[in-house]
Parts: sequence; C-alpha cells; structure tokens
Amino acid sequence: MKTWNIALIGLGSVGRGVAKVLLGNDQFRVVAAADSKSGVFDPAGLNIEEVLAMKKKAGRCGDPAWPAARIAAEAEYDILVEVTPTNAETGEPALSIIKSAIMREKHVVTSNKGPVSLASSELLRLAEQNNVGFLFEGTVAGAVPILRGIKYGLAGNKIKALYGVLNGTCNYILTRMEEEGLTYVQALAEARDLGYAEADPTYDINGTDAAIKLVILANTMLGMDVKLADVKRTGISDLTVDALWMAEETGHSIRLIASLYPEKNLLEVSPRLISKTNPLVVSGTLNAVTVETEYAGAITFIGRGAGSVETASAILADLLFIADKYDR
Amino acid sequence: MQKNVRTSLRLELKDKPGQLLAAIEPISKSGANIITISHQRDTKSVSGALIVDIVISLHEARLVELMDALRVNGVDIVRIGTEHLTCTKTFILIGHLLHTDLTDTVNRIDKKHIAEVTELDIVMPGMEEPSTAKLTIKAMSEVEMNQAVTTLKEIAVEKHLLIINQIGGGI
Repeated sequence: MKTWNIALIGLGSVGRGVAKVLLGNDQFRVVAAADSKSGVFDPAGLNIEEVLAMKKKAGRCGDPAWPAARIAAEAEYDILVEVTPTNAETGEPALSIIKSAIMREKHVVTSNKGPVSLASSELLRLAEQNNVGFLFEGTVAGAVPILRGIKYGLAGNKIKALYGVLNGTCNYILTRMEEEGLTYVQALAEARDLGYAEADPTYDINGTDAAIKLVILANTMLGMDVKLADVKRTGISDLTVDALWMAEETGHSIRLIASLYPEKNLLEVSPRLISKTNPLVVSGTLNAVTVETEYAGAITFIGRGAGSVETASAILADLLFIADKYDR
Repeated sequence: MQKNVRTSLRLELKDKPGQLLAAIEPISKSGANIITISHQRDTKSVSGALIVDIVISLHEARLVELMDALRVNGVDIVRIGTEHLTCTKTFILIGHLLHTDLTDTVNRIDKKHIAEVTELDIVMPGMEEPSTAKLTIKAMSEVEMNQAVTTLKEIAVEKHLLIINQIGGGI
C-alpha cells in the first residue's frame, strides 16, 4: 500500500487533532509541518509528537526560515492539509498557500472556511486542471459529513431547501438561556469559560460564521454563485430570556437557523421559532441540518460541528477519499 | 332577511380527474360566494384522498342542502367551521414596542376578515429596556398571511424591532 506524504499547515486545535488521528493510520505520514511563525520537514517522516512538544516549549514548531508558504511551495509532499484559522475578508494567507500547492499538482484538504467561501469555484477549477483533489468537508458542520452526504449520498436529488443549526456557539448560548434562564450575557460568559466561544465571538453571535458555511454549501453543493454579502444576517445578541420563555409556552425553542432556498435565491441567518419536536432542536454545541430533497424527502444530519478530533475526522475522510481516487 | 355567514369546509376528494369540479359545482349552484380555495396536491389524507380547504359565504339555512349535494357528488366533508381565518402563525417581537406605538403596529397588520392579530402577550422588564411580545396572526390563507408578514417585516425595519419568525414543523 502506498504511503501518502502530508504537509500539515496549522498546529492549533484542529492541527493537533489531525496529528493525533494520523498517528493511528499508517497510510499517511506527516513529512512537513508549519505554524504561523515557522516550519519543519523531514522526507523520512516527522515525529509529530516531538514537533508539537517543541511548539509548546519554544512557541514555534521549527525554523523561521521555513514559514508555511515556503513549506507549501518548496517541500516535497503529496497532500497539503491546511487547518489555519479562518480569515473571512481575504482568506489569506491560506488562499495563496492552497493555490501554490495546487499549482504544484499537490492535493489539498482544508477546514479553513475563508478560502473556500471566497474562491471555491476558482480553486476547484484549478484543482481539476492540475488533476488533483481539493476537499473541504471540515469547513461545514465539523465532523458531520454534510458535503459528501449531499454530493454522493443524495446524488441526483434536486435540493429544494436547506436549513439548520450551523453554529455551535450560538446553539450552546440559546440552549443555556432556555434551560437555565440565563441572560444572553451570562450564557456567553459561560460559553467563553468552557472554550465554546472565542475571545472575540462577534462572528459567531452576529451570524457571520453560519452565513459563511451557507455560502460554501450554496456554491459548492447547490451550483449557486453567492457571496457573504448576499446572506441576510440577524444575530442573537438582542434575544431576551422572555422571548425564550414565550416560545417555550407554545412548545417552541428559538435557534439561530441558517436557511437556503435555491429557487428563490434566498439565503438567511436569523433566530427562528422552531417546534421542540423538530429534529433541528439540538442541545449544546451540536450542529443539525435538514435538507429537503426532490425524491428522498427531508433528511436531517446531526452531529458535532466543531472540536479538534471531530474536525480531524472530516479531514481524515477527505484524505482517504483522495487516496482512493488518485493512485499517485 | 337572513345574512350570509362565512363557513370553512375541509373536503376530501378522490385523486382522479374531475373531482374538483364535483366539489365546486354544488357550491356554485347553492348560490354561495367562494372566498378562498386552497388545494395542495402534496397534502393527502391518510387514505390518500386530496384535501381541499374552501371558505364560502352562504345563507346559513342553505348549508345543510349544500352538504347533501356535495355528498351526492362523492365529496367527503371532513370538517366544518365558522372559523374562516384558517392560517395561523406566531411571532416573537423584541424591541421598544410601546415607545413605537403598539396600537399602530397591530392596526397596520389587522385587516378585518382577512388577517387579524388574534393574540398579543407582552412582557416589559423596565421602561428603558426592550420589551418582548408574542404575536399570533390568523389569516384566510397563505396569500393573506404572506401579505401580513410582509407588513410586519416592514414595521420591524421602521421601528427597529427584532422579529422572530417560525420555521419548519414538528415530527
């Protein structure tokens, strides 16, 4: 069996998850790694545990003369795994790094929403021209195989509508407001304490994160051509405890729902009233998406939408897909 | 003189050609005025019959006569109601509802016999804090409901209210 050489760009939470998952799989070998300041490579395979220990101790994983962009452009590898944080405005530096890898006829797997939401059609075209794979299952709903589920599982079905919970942070906050009567501010503080919300949670709570995922779904799975600005967004910061309590009285919850109606060209992220018996009413940080299809009816995907090993699960699936499809 | 009353009928039709006519013909002959007909091909009863919701305006005394005529034509009547606003939606509004003239908000949505605000619960935590309201709108059909929702959305923009709309059903 062929061993595939991996260049791992990004050693944060997801990067560490990928390292962990790949240790249990002898089909893949990490030969290069980079963080935001430096990089390291060894054609014989890196000892990833040592690399991570080095990063923890020194604050960087390797040589500053080999930053991520140089690793991507010059090191020898088969598949670039790009798992750095999302830059929603420009997609950089990930976008340039991904392009340079594809131009060198390297496969690319990413969980970075920036480049995919901004330039999916260009990147997919480039990948096709270079006969390499460009896969990004981890960008939407973390471990949940929503992209592959739509593309292959529901192949041939026209998608009439797609809607659901695509942001675990908001879902956690709303669940806690509903269950414990916490105010929005209290629930957000708790989410931060538990590491479910980032230091600056603006993109989560104003609906931008969910909107970016909607754009990825629209452009890559539904044949649409939309931008982040096309998504009407309303966040959850103005929600009152009274609103959740009133919803409860009639057997409803309030959830931040991302919705997409391809025929009406309508994309929206907003808090919605939703029956508690609807499968989309999931608790905590879970994600859930219902896809209304032509023949299969409504299908709902539920699972963990974020997390280190969970996102790595989606990346591993992409890697195995490449190993299966491209025999080189 | 007897006055006309609005009556909603839910009819079940067999899924074969000519059935809608079998339902409409007796209604037309009875002298009733048809207000709305809602016929969704996708919604079927457990037995596989097509469901048609009709709201008519007719002299009360002639209703029994009409029902008999429908049955003769093979049309099953599964529900009769005087409730003509058959479409219901609930919303939650958050914002300065009183400062922005709540009466005006309700009046602009209310259109007698077409779409009405049938329920309004409001919670005010303090004078300067935003209040929260639960608002139920009933309308004659989807069309009138959509008009009412459009109005509500316009008001929400104008008065800086957050409007929480319903999505999906239960299981």
